[in-house]
This record gives sequence, structure tokens and C-alpha cells, in this order.
Amino acid sequence: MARILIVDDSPSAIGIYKKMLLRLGYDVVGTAFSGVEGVKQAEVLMPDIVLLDIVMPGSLDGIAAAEIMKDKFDIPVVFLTAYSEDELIDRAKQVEPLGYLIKPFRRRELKVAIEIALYRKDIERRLRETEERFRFLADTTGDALYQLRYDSMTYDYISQGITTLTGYTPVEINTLSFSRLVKKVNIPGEGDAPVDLIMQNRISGRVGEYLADYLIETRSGQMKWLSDHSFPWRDNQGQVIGSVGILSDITARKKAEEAYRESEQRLAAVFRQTPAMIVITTLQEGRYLEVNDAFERISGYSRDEALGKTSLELGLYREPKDRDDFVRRLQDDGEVRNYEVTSLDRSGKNIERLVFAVPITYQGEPCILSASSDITELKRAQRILADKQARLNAIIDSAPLAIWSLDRDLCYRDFNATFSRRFREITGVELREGMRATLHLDPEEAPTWEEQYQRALRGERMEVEHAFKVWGKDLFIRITFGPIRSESGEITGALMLGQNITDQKQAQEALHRSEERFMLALEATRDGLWDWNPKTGEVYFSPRYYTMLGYAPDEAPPSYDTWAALLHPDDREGAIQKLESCIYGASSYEVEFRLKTKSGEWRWILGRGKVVEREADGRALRIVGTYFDITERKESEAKIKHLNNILRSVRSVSQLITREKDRDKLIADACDVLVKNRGYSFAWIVLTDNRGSLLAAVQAGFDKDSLPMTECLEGGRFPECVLFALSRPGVLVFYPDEAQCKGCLLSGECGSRGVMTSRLNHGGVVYGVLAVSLPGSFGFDAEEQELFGELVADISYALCNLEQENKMKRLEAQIRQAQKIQAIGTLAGGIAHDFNNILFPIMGYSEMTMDDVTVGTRAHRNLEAILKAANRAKDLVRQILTFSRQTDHLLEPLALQPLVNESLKLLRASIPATIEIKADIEPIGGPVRADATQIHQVIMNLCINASQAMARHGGTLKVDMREIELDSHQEAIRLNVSPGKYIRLTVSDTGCGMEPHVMERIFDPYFTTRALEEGTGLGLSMVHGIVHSYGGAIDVTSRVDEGTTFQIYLPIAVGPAKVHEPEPVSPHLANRESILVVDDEREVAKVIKLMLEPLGYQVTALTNSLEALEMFRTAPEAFDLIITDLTMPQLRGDRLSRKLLAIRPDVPIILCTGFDTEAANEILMDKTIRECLTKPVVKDKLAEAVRRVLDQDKGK
Amino acid sequence: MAHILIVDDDTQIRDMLRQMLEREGHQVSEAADGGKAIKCYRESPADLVITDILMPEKDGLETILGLKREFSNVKIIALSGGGQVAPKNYLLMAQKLGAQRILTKPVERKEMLGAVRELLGDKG
Repeated sequence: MARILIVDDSPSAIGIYKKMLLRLGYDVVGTAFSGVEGVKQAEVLMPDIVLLDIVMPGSLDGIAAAEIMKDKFDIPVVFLTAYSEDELIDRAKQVEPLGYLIKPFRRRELKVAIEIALYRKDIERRLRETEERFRFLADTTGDALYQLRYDSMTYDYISQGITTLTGYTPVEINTLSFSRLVKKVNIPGEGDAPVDLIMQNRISGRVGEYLADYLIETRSGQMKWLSDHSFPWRDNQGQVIGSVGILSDITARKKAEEAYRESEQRLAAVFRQTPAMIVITTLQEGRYLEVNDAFERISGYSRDEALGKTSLELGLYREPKDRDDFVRRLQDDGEVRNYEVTSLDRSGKNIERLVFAVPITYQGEPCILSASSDITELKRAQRILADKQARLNAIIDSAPLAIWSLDRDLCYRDFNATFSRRFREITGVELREGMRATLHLDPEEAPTWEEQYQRALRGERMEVEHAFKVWGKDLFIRITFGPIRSESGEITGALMLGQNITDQKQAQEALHRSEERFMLALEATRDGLWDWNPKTGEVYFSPRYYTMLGYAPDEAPPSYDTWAALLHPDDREGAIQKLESCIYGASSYEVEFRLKTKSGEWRWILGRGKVVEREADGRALRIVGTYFDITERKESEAKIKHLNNILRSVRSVSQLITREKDRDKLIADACDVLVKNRGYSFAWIVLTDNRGSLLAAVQAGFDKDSLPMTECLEGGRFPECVLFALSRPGVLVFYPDEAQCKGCLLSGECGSRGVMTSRLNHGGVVYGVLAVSLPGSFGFDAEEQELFGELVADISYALCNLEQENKMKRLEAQIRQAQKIQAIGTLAGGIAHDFNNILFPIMGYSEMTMDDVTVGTRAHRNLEAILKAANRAKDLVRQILTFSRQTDHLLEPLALQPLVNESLKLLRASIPATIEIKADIEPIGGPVRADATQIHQVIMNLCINASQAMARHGGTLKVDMREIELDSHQEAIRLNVSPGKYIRLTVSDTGCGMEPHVMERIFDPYFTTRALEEGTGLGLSMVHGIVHSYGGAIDVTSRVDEGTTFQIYLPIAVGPAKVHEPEPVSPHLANRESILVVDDEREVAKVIKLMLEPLGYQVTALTNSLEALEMFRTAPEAFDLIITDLTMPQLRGDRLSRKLLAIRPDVPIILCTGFDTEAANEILMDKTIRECLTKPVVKDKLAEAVRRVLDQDKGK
Repeated sequence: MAHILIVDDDTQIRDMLRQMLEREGHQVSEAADGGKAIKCYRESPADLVITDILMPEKDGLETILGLKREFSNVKIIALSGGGQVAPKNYLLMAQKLGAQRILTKPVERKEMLGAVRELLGDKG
């Protein structure tokens, strides 16, 4: 919506205009009543149009105001006037109003006037803007725009650019003639044209758009190229009246074009004239697109002949496939360099070419630009040179001389085949030119070489011999070093010639060595030489003859007798016989014998002799021979024999140990084997127990009567070497002069060779020592010791095995024994009652009948005999019951010493005087839990047996008793008892001894060696039973004709002996309460009784629960406590308890059970049972429980 | 002289003891087991009972118990030849139950009569 300012001096007119304008939809932004006010409003409001009255009072009338508005603010006006005077309108025209409205006017007229005014205002604005833009462009571009009028040949318009282009202003340019400015005309695409013609053509109108380049001279005289791009300017009738155009500076372009053209021409010349053959061919087929002069010359084809043809069509390739190869290379590598190819020229002659090629795009097609030079001549020359070189090389290479040269940097330069072969042989490296000469040499020799090379490089000439090893063979090379000089005399390197002088050298050395060998042989021969004339007796002994026997040369006269006197007596006869066999008959001989040295030793000699001269009758005139000392060989033979003997021994011992099960026989046989196989001169084995006490000693090879050995060992003294060996592992060697052997009792026995010992040890147990001595003069070397070690290992292993076996056997025997005795015990117990019942009437009737018959009659004597027999039977039953442990002996801690002494007193009276009793009873010693009567029986039985063994010849009965400790498990295990303190009672005799098979059975019941009436055969069984019931053991050793020793081990009871002393104070000491013990196992019942009685309880032990119940019923108050087993036949412990409690509800009961059963727990739940003990019942626990229950009861 | 009751299941022994005791002038009754012995004693109380321990039916210990219960003054000699347990065991028990003497079979006449004499006192 147009914004309108109204200026009129008539307010009513303003009102009317305003109303009209608003009606028409314009915006009246302001009103003014005078020109001055109008200008002010216009400045402030900047309306689109001002409606302005022309005639107004004031300093400014409408026209003046309009001028100001237009000039200052560019606001157009529409005049309103009531006047239409011409003068006024002319004046108004001056300000170029947008319209006039003559008052009075109608609303539509106003609208048209305003709309036209607005339109004109817009058009004018746009025109102005276009013009300004054009002018700006025309003046700012470096080009010049122009409008030329042909009639006057002047520029209606020419922009400022002309000044830049020509140096002339637009005004000046009009004054210049065209020819004055333009020096040359060039029509692009047509070429140069006359200057005047161009303008004539243009004026004629024959040309339309027109392009021309002008060479002009600027105002400053500079030459410039301008391009003129013009169009015809036509008038309304279409007549050409001039032209418009644009001039631009193209000097730079023109210069570049010029330069390019010149360059093109130069390149073309080069292309054509270069001596190399250059062609452009299509990549695809090799069709020639361009060739140069050289091509024509080299190929023989003219340019015209070639273009359009392919190289193959021309037959240029001798081998057509070469082109494929060539193209492939080009495509693979992007270019081809130094490609040699043989072509054929037009006349068919070979041309060798060296080709360079790159792919190019030519005329829009992929092509190859290739340049090649003709190297035919060059190649020929090269071939000739190469041939010559090859011939020379062949000569050099085939020379046996190694030839090589080095440059100043000591790098290999040239060398011949001989050298490179040698180099490879010596260093293992393939020689290459440029390698450093010192690089692959032996580092130790490199400095020498370097020095020699350097000397050559300094100009020195020299000849040097070098030795090498090639595949283990010596190689000697004589090398001539010398400098290589250039023509100017400057040293450029070193040249070496090497000559193989190995053969020559070796020949020399061989000669030298052979001489040396001969000399050495002469000096060092071990052979003694002799020369004997049997006829005259003349003898020559070489110096060595003497020295080999320790004499100074000629120390003894050279004679047959001297020789014979030195011969070993054992060899004399043989040696002499051999020698003398030569006097007649044999021509030579060989014999071994011993000769005595000056120091008295014997040397083994291999003697050889040969007859060199004989008399006519065949008698030898001269025998010569050599003596060679073979002592060492003999010794090593002996050594080997010895080791073989030992090997045989090892084998025999291995066989022996698999066969022999008796220990003593085993070691004795082993010693025998070692000596019998001639391995050792003697061998002995000492076996010890784990405490180092002697168990056995055997020897072989000693004199039978040699006693020191036995004496020494039996005296409890071991030789030092044995003690040493016992305490150390491995094989030990003692020589007679060593400390251990000095003062040894056996030193006389061992001889002077020394002893080798090793302890017999297997699985950590030391069994003893094996010692041997050597017969030979050789020492105990490593091999020897190793074999000995094997022997020791074998024997040790065997001993270990035997021990294990024996242990097993003993255990088996013990088990067997125990079973036997148990069986008999059961039987005996069963029959004892009946037997006693049978005996009772026999005895009773006999006694009574004896009253009835007269004393002294046969009947009376018979009855006496019956009675006696019955009494024996009675004793027998007792004894049976004793060994089957059925007697009810109370075991109490007893001091055994008084018992033993008392028994010995009794014995003395009953033993023959031929037997001496030696008693050694240690006065102190712990008490043993035992029954005095039984101990008495044991001693009596053993001593009587001993005295009977000596009955025939008398002897010594030794009784020895002492406290010992079986601390070693081994010993305890052997005896099958627990380790601890024991009283050991030893009863030994010097009687007849026992055979092993007898010894095995001595504890069997009813086994006896005596006549029937002499004993029951139950004595030792009884002893056995008693000792075992005490937790002790019996050990028997016996040797036929030497005697028997019984050793009884009885465990020492803890606490003091009780028999003669008050009972020990015990925390669980009884108050003499009475206890009923019920257990169907008699032993258990007894044990409990035995446990409790010493504590002061009165114990009744029953095995029958019914019996116990009955007994209790009889006297319920008689017992203070009941101890009952749970599991019993007839009446179980729990039921028994219930019945007992029914009789006497407060009776305390302890239940024993063999296993922790639920039953036991249930019973305890009952609470009627006070305690429950688990079997086996331990004494302390039992005592505790008993006391606890009893005290509890008291508390109530 | 006194009245002695012999209790033993072994006839031979009873016969032998009867003869041995009768020779001394005693009057002897016999019983083969404990039950009979007690019955016999009730009918005619003896001055002394000599009883075996191991017997069928009612054995010696029971006999002793039974006799003692009824006749606290009864004098008893217990004899035993042993059996499953050593004779001494039974005898000690017998002693505990009230037997004044215990003897192990076979008993020599001297010992037997000695014990009888001792127990009977004036009557022996």
C-alpha cells in the first residue's frame, strides 16, 4: 500500500484528498499546509508519493518544494493545481513530476494519477539501477566496450577500459584513426588481413558478428594484441549504422600461442632428425602412426611406406612373438627400458635394436611411443670383445695358479676359477666380486693376510707360503703378492698368484717325518736287542736291554749266564729250551718269560730270536733277537681275568641267593664262591644286628686254623675297617699302611694287598659287612669296585629277603603254635572234669583197699603203684589246665629276683654235681605281673631241661636275669611283642643242643625227647603258655653239640612290686566292695577280675548269666556292683540287669559291650544302667567307672 | 558218728565216698543231683553235705544256695574236678555261697577225711 504525503494550503482540500485516498485504499502518512512543512514531513516520513499543491503561500511554493524533495530525498511528486497556465506547467515540468491533477478532479482521476505515478517511479528506479550497473561493469572490466558510429567513425560510447588497453582516454581515442592505432589485423582461423579491409568489410555490413585480433601500439609505444568482438548496430530501418563491441587484451595469449607453435616446430624437428628411431604405433596392432627420419634410415622403409602399416606387416620383427613379449612388458611395467630385439630391415638384414617405449594416447587412441637405437654394430663389437675375454678367462681359469686381485679397499676384484674354487673349499663361501678379502678368513690368520695385502698395496712384492685345511687335508699354497699399477703408475690394487705346493710340501714333510720317526725309534725303542754267537759265546746287549731291567748299560757283563741268572725260576726251563732249539733246527722263536729287574721285581718279557748265520753243519753261528717288555699287557690280561672271575662270582652269588634259604649257609657259601672263583684271595662276612652286635661271621680263604679272626669277632671287637664300613655307605678300600689297619689283629691275615669292604645294606637296614682282598698286584679300580658293589647289593638283597622270609616263618609258627595250644586247651578243659572224676574213685578205692591188705604184700605194692599212677594223672590234668591257661592264677606285680634265687636253691639240690650252675641275677629290676607259682614252674622247667641236656657229659648251666629295653622295633617285632622294658631271663646250657627240626616242635604239647617216664612233654608248652599269658616272649637258639639258650622276656609292670608291699595308693582304690562280674567269655571275666582285684575289690566272676542271677537272688546285698556283658547266651546282659533290678532296684550295674550298638544306647536311655563300657575294657577306664558308680551310690 | 549227705551225679564217686566215710563210721546218704539232695536233707538233715559242683539238673552251686537258704547252719564241703572253667573258680564261688571247705578232685583220702573231721568237730 502506497504511503502518501499530502501538502496543500487548504485544510478542507486536504480533508477531501485524504478521504478520497483512504477510500482508494492508500495510506496517508502525513499532511502539511505549506511547502516548508511538506519538505520537513517528507524528510521524516519518506513517503512513496507526495501530493503537492503548486500554489502555496510561504517561502516555498509547490514547485520549489518538489525540487527539494526530488533532489534531496528522491521522492516523486504529483502536482495538484487549480491552474493550468502554461508558464506554471512549464516550470513544473522542470522538476519532472510524476503527474498532474487539475483541480477539481474526481476520485478515479486521482487513482489513475497515483497509480501511473507509482508505476513510473518504479520504472525509473529500475532503469536507473540498470544503467548504473552497466556503467559500473563497463568501467571496471579491463576490457573496453564501445559503440562506433560509421558515418562519423566516432565512438558514441567507449568505456574507461580503453585507457587501460591503449593508454588513450575515451575522448582521445576518437581523435585517432583506426590505422594509426592498429598495426596488424589477424582474423582467427583465417590469418592476417589488411588493416583497412577489415573496416571496409564491417562498414559494408556484409559481416555480422565479427572477430578480429589487432596488434596495436599503445600510447607509450608498447605493442599489444587486442581482440575485437563486434556486432552490427542497425537503425530502425535495419540499416547498419555502426557497431558495438568489446576489445580485450590478448597479448599474453598470443605470446603463449606463439611460444607453443615454436616449441612444436622444434619438437617436430627433433622428432624427425634425432638419430634414434622413434615411432608411434597403435598399441593394439602396432600400426605406424608416426615415424621419424631415423626410422627410414634404419629400417629402409620410407615414411609413406610405413604409415598405416603394422610392424608385422612390414616384417620388421625377425621373431613375430617378440612383439607380443614387448607389448606384454609394456603393459606389465608401464614402460619398457633397454629392450633388445632383433629386427629385419627392408633388405632382410638383421638389425639389433635397443628399445625404450612408453604408452601414450595419440589421436585419441592408445598407442606406443617407442625409441630405439641401432646397436647392431655395438653388439658385434661386444661379442668380439666377449669372445676375447672368454678366451682370456679360459686361459686364466684353466691355469693351476690361483689368480686374484684386490682393490685398494681390500675387496676382491678379479679372480680366476682356480681361486674361487680354492676360496670355496677353504671358507665354504661362494666368492663374489666386491667381498672384503679379510671377511671369510680364519680370524687368527686374517691380520697376517691383511698385512700382506697392505704391503702389496704399498708396492711391495713378496712370496709367502700359507697353509690351509681343506676337508681335513693340509693344503699349502705359495702366494706371490704384488701391486697393480695404472698406466700412470698409481697403485690401484694388489694382484696375487697362488701356487699349490702341497705335494711338494708333503713330500718334504714325509721325508722329514720319516727321518724323525727313525730317530725317535732309535732313541725310544722299548726293545732290548741282543746278538749271540752260540759258538764263541760272544753276546751283545743293547743299552735298552739293560735299562729295561733297571740296570745301567753294561752294568752286568753281556753273557748267556747273565741272562739265565735273571730268569724267573718258573720260566727258566721253557725260555732256555726255546733259545736252544734254534741252535739246530728252528730258524726263529718267540717266548714269554720273566726277568728280574735290579730292584728285584719281575718284568714280563716277550723274547724273539732269529738265526741269521749258520755253519755248514747247520749249527747256528749267530742268533739275534729283541726283548720287549710286556709286563703291562700281562697285568691287564690278569686284570681282565680277575674281573671275569669276579663276574663269575657275581653270577654264582646270584644263583646262590635264589637257592639258599639258610642265612649262615648263604653267607658261608658266598664267601666260598668269591674265593673259589679266584676273584679274591679271601672273603669274609660279618653280620650284625641293628645295634652293631655280632650275629655271625664267616670267612673263606683264610687259613682254617687262623684264629685271630674268630677271636677278634667273638671278643666283640671288630676290625677298624668293619666299623668304618658299617658307618658309611659305598665301597671302601683300606691299604695296609693306613691308620685303620695299623694295630689291627687281622693285619697278618689280610696280607699286604689291602682290603676292600662295603656294608651290606638293603632298604635302609644294615646287615653287616663284606670284606675281600685281592690276589693280584692290581689295585681296586673303579670297575673292580663297581662289581664288588654289585656283589654287595646282591648279598644284601638276599639277606633282606631271608629276614623277611624268616620273619614270616616265625609268625606262621607262632600262629600255628597258638592254634595248637588253644585247641588242646579247649579239649583239655573239656576232659579235665571228667578225668578228675574218674581219678577220684581210683585213688579213693586204692587207698581204702590198701588199708585192707597187709603192708608189704604184692597186693599192697600194686595198690601203691595204682595210687602213684593216679597221682601222676592228677598232676597231668593240672598241667594241661595250666598251659591252656585254665588255672586261675592271680597275676600280681612281682619282683622276680627272690623267686629265681629260691628256685635256683631248689635246683642245686636236684641237679647232678657234674653240672655247674652259674647264676648272674641282676639285683635290681622292675616287677613283672606274674604268678609266683608259675614263675617257679617256668624256671624249674627250663633248668631241668637244661640239666638233662647236659646229663651225659656235664657242663655249665647259666642263668642270667637282667632288665633290658626292647627299644628297637625290629627286635620287638621279631619277638612279636611291643617295644618297652622287659626282664630277660636267660637259661643256657652247654649240652647236646637240638637239631632245627626238634627245635621247631619243642613247644608242642606232649612233645618230648625223653623216655616216657621222664616227663610229660608238657613242660615247655606250659612255659610257653605262662610266658605268653604274661604278654612276654620266648626266644630259643640252639646248636647241636654246643648247647641251647632259652631267653624269656617278661614285660615289666608299671608301678612297684606288690607282693611284699602294701597296695599302691590309687585314686580308684576300693573300699573292699564286692563286685559280681558276668561275661560269657571267660577270659574277659577273668581280665576284669584281674583288673579290679589289685585295686582292692572282692570280685566274683561268672560266665553264666543265669548262674549270676541265681547267685544274686540268693544274696542280693552281697554285691555292691554288677558288671555284666551285653551279649550272652541264655540271658542277655540287659535282661539280666532288669531281673537284678527287679530283685534290688538300687543295685548299680555297669554294662560292657563289644560294640557300640544302638541296643547299648537304648539301654543307657533306660537310666537304670549306670555306665556303659566299650570292650576292650581298659583298666583305668574300668577303675574309674567302678569308682564313679560306687561313689554315686554312696552319695545317695 | 555223723550223718553225711553225698551229692554227686557220678555213681562211682558216690560209692567210693560212701565206703570211705562208712569206714570211718559215718552214716551216709546219697543224692544224684541238687534237687534230690535238698529233698533228702529236708527229710533227714545231715551233719555234713559233700557236694559236687557240676551236676545235671540242679548243680552244686544251686544246691549250696538252696541248702543255705533253707538251712543256714548246714555244713558243706564242695568238690570239683573243673570243667569249662578251672575248678578253683567254681569252688571259690561255692565258698562265697557258704561252702565251708572246697576241695579239688581227685582228693586224697587223707585230705578228704581231714576236712570232714574238721567240720564235724566232736562228731568227727
